[in-house]
Amino acid sequence: MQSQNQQTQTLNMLPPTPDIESYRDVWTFVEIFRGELISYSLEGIAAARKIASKVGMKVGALVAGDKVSDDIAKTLIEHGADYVVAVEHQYLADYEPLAYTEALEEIVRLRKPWALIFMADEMGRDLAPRLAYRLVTGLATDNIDFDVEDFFHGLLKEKFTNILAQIRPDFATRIAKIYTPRHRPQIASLRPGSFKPLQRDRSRVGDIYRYTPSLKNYQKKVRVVDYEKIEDRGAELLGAKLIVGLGLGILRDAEGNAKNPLEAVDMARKILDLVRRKLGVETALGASRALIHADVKELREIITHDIQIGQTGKTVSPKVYIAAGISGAIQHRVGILRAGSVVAINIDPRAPIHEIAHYSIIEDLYRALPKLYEALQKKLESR
Amino acid sequence: MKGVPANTARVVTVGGILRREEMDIVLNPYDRKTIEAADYMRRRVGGKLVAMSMGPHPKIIPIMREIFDAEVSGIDEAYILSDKRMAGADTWATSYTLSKGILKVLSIHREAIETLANAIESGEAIDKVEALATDLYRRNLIPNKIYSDKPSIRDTLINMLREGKISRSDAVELLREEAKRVTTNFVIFCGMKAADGETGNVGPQVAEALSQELGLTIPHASFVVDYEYVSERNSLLVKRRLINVMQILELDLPSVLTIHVDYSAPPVPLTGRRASLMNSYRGKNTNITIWSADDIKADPRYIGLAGSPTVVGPGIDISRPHVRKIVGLSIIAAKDIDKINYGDKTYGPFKKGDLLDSLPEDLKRDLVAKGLAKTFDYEDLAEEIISILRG
Repeated sequence: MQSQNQQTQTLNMLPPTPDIESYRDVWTFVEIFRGELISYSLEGIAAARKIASKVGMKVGALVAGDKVSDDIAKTLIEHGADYVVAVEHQYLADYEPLAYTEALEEIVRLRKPWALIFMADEMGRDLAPRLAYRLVTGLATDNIDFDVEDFFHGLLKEKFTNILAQIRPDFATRIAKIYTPRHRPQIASLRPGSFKPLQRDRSRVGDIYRYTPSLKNYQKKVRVVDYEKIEDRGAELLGAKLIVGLGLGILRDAEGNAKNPLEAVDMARKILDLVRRKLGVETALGASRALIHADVKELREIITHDIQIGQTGKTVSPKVYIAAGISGAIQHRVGILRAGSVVAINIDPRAPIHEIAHYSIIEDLYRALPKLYEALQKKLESR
Repeated sequence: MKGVPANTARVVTVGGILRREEMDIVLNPYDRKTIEAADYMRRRVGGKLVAMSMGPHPKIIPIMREIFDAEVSGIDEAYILSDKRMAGADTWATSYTLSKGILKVLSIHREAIETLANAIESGEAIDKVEALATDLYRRNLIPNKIYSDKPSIRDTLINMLREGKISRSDAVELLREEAKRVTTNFVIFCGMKAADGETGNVGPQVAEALSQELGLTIPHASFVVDYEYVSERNSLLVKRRLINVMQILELDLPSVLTIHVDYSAPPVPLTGRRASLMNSYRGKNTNITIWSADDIKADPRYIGLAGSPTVVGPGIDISRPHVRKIVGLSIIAAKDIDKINYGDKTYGPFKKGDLLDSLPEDLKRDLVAKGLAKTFDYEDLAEEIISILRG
């Protein structure tokens, strides 16, 4: 029962989705890219499963392409989908946002899913916002978890029961819950790596609905011309679990004597190789802007722009970041905000990098790196 | 452009809503690349570089002032959409609001050219027409090819009209075409995301919102690392990140690009400099324009908190007090330690490896002597690094 006040308030707000009670099921958009099922899309099915089980709904896997094979559809069902919605059109052969938005808009308006989960990769981040705007509904981006909760809307003084709580990191130290109480579908994107795909169950069966969109409002304003391999040497930085970042400090030792910086590079590489070999995790070498701009002759082929970490370089998210000879200017710190733990090696105890470090080594890096290598080697070989 | 908190460790929120007016606000660091990319377009084809932001204008004005000098040429003009009713907007409401602001910028320019066309069509004396053109030019609303006071530019439309090289009806027709081009020949550059919200939604959503406002389809491409203008087809050839590859796309104008941090502008080709100059305007207009929701004719139901489909629940703080272990200095628990009664206080319990630096000095010495605590050394550090990487 709405109070007078509440009705007035509602009139002054974005109108809610009409017929909101008719929206059912939790869908996840499964990415097929250049004929391949993008494997982390299976995490979206796991997330949808979690949500659906809490609200007693079914899980639909939404797939688009010029033709979606039975094999792919079957795979999705065996990984937890109750049914597959395959949207098929020749214009969907290659991904581009206009045709995909148009096609997904049609199927969503037709079948009315209650929630729709995208993966928060480049495709999901390109497509979901446009679709959400078109459908006049909310989008919560880059979530790490979902729940189903009751939510009290402070402005409306109204309680919404059993809606999707979209859980995402907020300013490094907090998590926030985002709700879309008055609009459907509740659209969210899921950060890859946040859910484990469900165990494949070959006994699972489900329906496959095939739909050919009319694309009647579609205008071909984008043409896919080609694809290129990513040649960026620094690409490995983005997936690395351990990164050693080198800064201007490697040019001199603690006494101020010029050093051959290749020594520091070699020591860093020894640590990275050891960890990669023994723990089987990806590792990478990075550098600060200051070191790259110093344009040191010996480092020219090694310390390049590709591996620059920081505001104007790459933003990395390793589990462990070892900063050697880096002072920790804010521009560099921006690039390592997402790092799990920071190990700072800097002889100057007042260097800003120590402020954000979880571990500090206040010692000449030319002494510290070999000691760290030996300690790691001892611990890793004794196992 | 977006203003973001200078220090994300000190954000002020009330009920999950950022209180920008109570914090130090700086330019979103990702927007630097946006300016670089837009600046390239400006130098490549001319026109002007217009910056727009939504937020409390006292905080945004200093940011805008700075970027007049950013990159090679900096921005030419700045607009701030500032209104209490815009506060608390999610990306949907923000994109709607920005699209209304963009629409108004386009309208002003289109109307300026139309006014001039109408004056010529109605048979105004050439001196009157020129006076009007001068005024519009000084206000940065018409490009050099229509009117210019630069000595190097002689072949403007107004000059040709005065010298009888074109007829009045030709001039009117040319101006009307030019007016139409205002709403089709533009590119909107957005940051790939903002350092505070980190959504990256606004670029694609502005493309959609503005498509609806203008009644045409405006394509977008996110995470652009490189692009070039294709003059033969008036389009953009764009290289952007997509999953595990670079996708090369051709986008018709108008279009929206979000710029990846890996973008870096190439040198501007030498050809086309003259055309670029003719398409450009008088110069910079450093008077920053501030518009309210009413100024941009925004539907109050679609802006701010009221226009946001999403609602932010109360944030949950997951930060732990910052602990730092210093090799050779910090004292850690050498094994699991039960609760310790010391003086009139109780400490612990502690797990092996826990930092004990905050304990009283005497107690630490005591624990070290008993073998319960030790100095944090390289091997302890190695142990922790390995355990984090395994976890």
